Amino acid sequence: MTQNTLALDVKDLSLSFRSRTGRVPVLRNVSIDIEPGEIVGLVGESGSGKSVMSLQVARLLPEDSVVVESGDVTVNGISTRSATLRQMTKLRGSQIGFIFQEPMTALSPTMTVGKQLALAIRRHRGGSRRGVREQAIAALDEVRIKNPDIVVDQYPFELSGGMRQRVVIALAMVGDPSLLIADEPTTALDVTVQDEILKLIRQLALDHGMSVLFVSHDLAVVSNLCRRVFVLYAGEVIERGTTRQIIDAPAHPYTRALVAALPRLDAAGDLSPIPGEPPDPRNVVEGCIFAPRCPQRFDPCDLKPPTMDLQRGHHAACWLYAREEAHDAR
Amino acid sequence: MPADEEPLLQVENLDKTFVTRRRGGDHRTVAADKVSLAVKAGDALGVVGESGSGKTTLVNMIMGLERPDAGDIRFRGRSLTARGGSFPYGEIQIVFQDPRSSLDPRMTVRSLLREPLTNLPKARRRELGAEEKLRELAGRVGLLPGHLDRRSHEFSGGQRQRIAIARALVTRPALVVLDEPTSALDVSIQAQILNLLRDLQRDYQLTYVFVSHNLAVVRHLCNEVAVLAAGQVVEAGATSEVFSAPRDDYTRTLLAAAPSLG
Amino acid sequence: MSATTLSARRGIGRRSGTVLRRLTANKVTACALVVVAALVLMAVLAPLIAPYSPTAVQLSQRLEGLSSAHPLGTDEVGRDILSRLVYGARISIGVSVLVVAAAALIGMLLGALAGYFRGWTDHVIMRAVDVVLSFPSLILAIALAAALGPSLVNAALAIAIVKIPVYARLAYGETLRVRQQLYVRAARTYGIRSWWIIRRHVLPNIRSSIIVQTTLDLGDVILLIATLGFLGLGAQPPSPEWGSMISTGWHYLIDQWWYPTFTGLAIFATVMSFNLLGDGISDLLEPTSRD
Repeated sequence: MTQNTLALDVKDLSLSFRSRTGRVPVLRNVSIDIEPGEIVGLVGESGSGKSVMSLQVARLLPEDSVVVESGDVTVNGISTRSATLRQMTKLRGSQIGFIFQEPMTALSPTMTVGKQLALAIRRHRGGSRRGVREQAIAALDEVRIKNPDIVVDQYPFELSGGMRQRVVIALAMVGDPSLLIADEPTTALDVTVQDEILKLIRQLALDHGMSVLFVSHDLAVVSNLCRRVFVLYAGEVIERGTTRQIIDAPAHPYTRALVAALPRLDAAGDLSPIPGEPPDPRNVVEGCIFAPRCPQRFDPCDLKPPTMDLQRGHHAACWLYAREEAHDAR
Repeated sequence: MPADEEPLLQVENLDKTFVTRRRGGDHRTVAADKVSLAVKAGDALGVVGESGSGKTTLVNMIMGLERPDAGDIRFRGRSLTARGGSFPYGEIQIVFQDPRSSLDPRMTVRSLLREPLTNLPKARRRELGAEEKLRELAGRVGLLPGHLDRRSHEFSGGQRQRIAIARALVTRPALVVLDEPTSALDVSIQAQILNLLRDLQRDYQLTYVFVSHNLAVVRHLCNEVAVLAAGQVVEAGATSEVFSAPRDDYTRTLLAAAPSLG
Repeated sequence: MSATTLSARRGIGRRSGTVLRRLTANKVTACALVVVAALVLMAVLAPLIAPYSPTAVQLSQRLEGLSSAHPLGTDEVGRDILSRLVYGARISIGVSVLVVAAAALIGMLLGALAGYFRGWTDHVIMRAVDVVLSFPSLILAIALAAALGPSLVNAALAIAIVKIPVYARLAYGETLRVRQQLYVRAARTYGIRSWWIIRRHVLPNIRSSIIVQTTLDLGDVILLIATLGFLGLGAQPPSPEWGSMISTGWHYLIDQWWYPTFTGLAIFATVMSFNLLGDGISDLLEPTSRD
């Protein structure tokens, strides 16, 4: 593994679901890259395909319903498209860690926290029973659970939502993954707890040199945690850049609208909502996917816009910038 | 408004404790501890609290779904909690958080809109439930007349919440309690709904009690705010003041933890 | 998780297509549907189809084998077996439909009341349900039918009593789920009374799972009626009930094989096709995870 290997390289991924009426495209030419140790955000509303994307990284979608039309997902240089099921199982846990929105879906209600951690520890590291218990306590300590020696013997239902999520994070970290996928991990949590969990994720990423793919609908949360952001709309990445670029100078009309639609703590001005609703993936329109709702729609938008370079690392798929480029070219 | 005018809704010293019997001793949860609030007509009061703060219990008590152990709730001067007191159906309405669960999936929009009228006197029921009135209301919240015949499961989350709002307004209430009405919605849809709520408050002369954990949303819609923690009101006042100069530590923690852009 | 992801897990497009088309998509279910339709038609049109009266005794033609006059032979008092089978379908199918419908309605109401009001109502109803369910259903049906006295009506009653708790428990669980829904809470804020809520919100929303259960139970009840008939506890002679026909017929199995065999086949085919159809319908209405 050279220095140049990306922790995650999603290259031009197009993915569809099989349905009775045919194939429904859910992701279209999605490209995401994450450097080692980097925290990257994937922002999208419901129906954008962000959860599908995060699950596909670890190939966790039911294989008989999913069709990868093109492209590939590479984790640390290992292609997931050509990997066997056995290789994927090995990948999950040791290279890829996962945390979901609802911790109770990841935790078994019938086993103590310690037992669940022990199972993971034995699988990835092996060891004697006492050694394993100590490691479990250490794992709980690392996710900043108070009194880990007591919690280790408790059941998930005895813990608060925030603590459960910490346990889930501890479980994900057992295999020392190089990539952590967090799919809306704090959406179901209180604001103060959310703040702590986000700080925890940041600290763990730093301590372990771990990359994070943080998937969320909350642009504010993503902007506080992630260095770079990919904006997903209706299955396409319509803008990407550093957090500063996206927040301070959003280029794509959708991103701009998203930023403008967020209520701010510091001001009580008018919110400008985006009219209409995201498109039905079954009726894919020709041309720009956002055009039907775009306030700046004009003629070229009937064709699908290519991704334009705006400045270093900041790209948007919008004809508005092609026009300027075309202008400069003359 | 004269300073001594009776508030539309007066909550006074509410106490409520839940006791769950368990082996090894009963477990007591204090959901309300001397909770007092005053909501003037035309206000939008934001009730901010995290889970376990007691905000759900407060909502239930205001709506008459639960009785407080002690204390009083007065609406237009009349007590809601006194024995023999009847709830002013139609004058206080509620919009719930989850639009999936708050609308009966088997009912048409028309039936859903008419349901709150069930308990009203016949004449009023006929007047407010008339087809033209329903169409007008549907249009006002952004729905089409054709939608009245459809069932709620055919609509998106944002549209369902519009139906829920229309349903709350069908009785022309004075007070609308909104329990996290936009928490389950996307940001872009949330913005639409918040703008709608603002317009409706103005057009129908409504008073809001808006429960939310999202401080930014409360900032946007509410002129007054009360912060709830462990069943107690730890701070209350004008939103702009409380948010810019919080006096309570917990309020400060909440404000600091609230994610904001950049 | 968003609708997009959930759709992948369930398979998109369930709403498209008519009920019939979806039902017949599965070959097995399609066959079952045809057989059930044929049987029901046969039962309804019995007087037109059956060549003879099912009770017409012709001692001169007793225990005759298959012939053009009697395609399925005759029984020990000369009655045409084909006619008896055709009329017997009326009893088997007709009575079981009535029994299942009655058990479903009563059970649904009991379960809904217990689930909505909780407290004493819950305790009384559900403990009674538990008691009945703790008995193996066949044994209890036999005991009840025997206690009530051998007759078709009593057999039907016994089976209904045995089946009611199944629906009560199903309705109870569903009611518990429904009463948590916010639309029930909303109805209470409008001042709507409990019985109104049960009628307008609870019952319509638990209906589909009850219906699914009835499709699964029909085959079982047909078999129960035949079983009680076989034991002499159900329909009494000369009624052409299939079970009682086997009860006398099996003595003649060696020399006059046609007598019990066709009856047995009739029972088998009927129960099987109703069961398969029920499975198909329940898969349609409540798809379980495909492994």
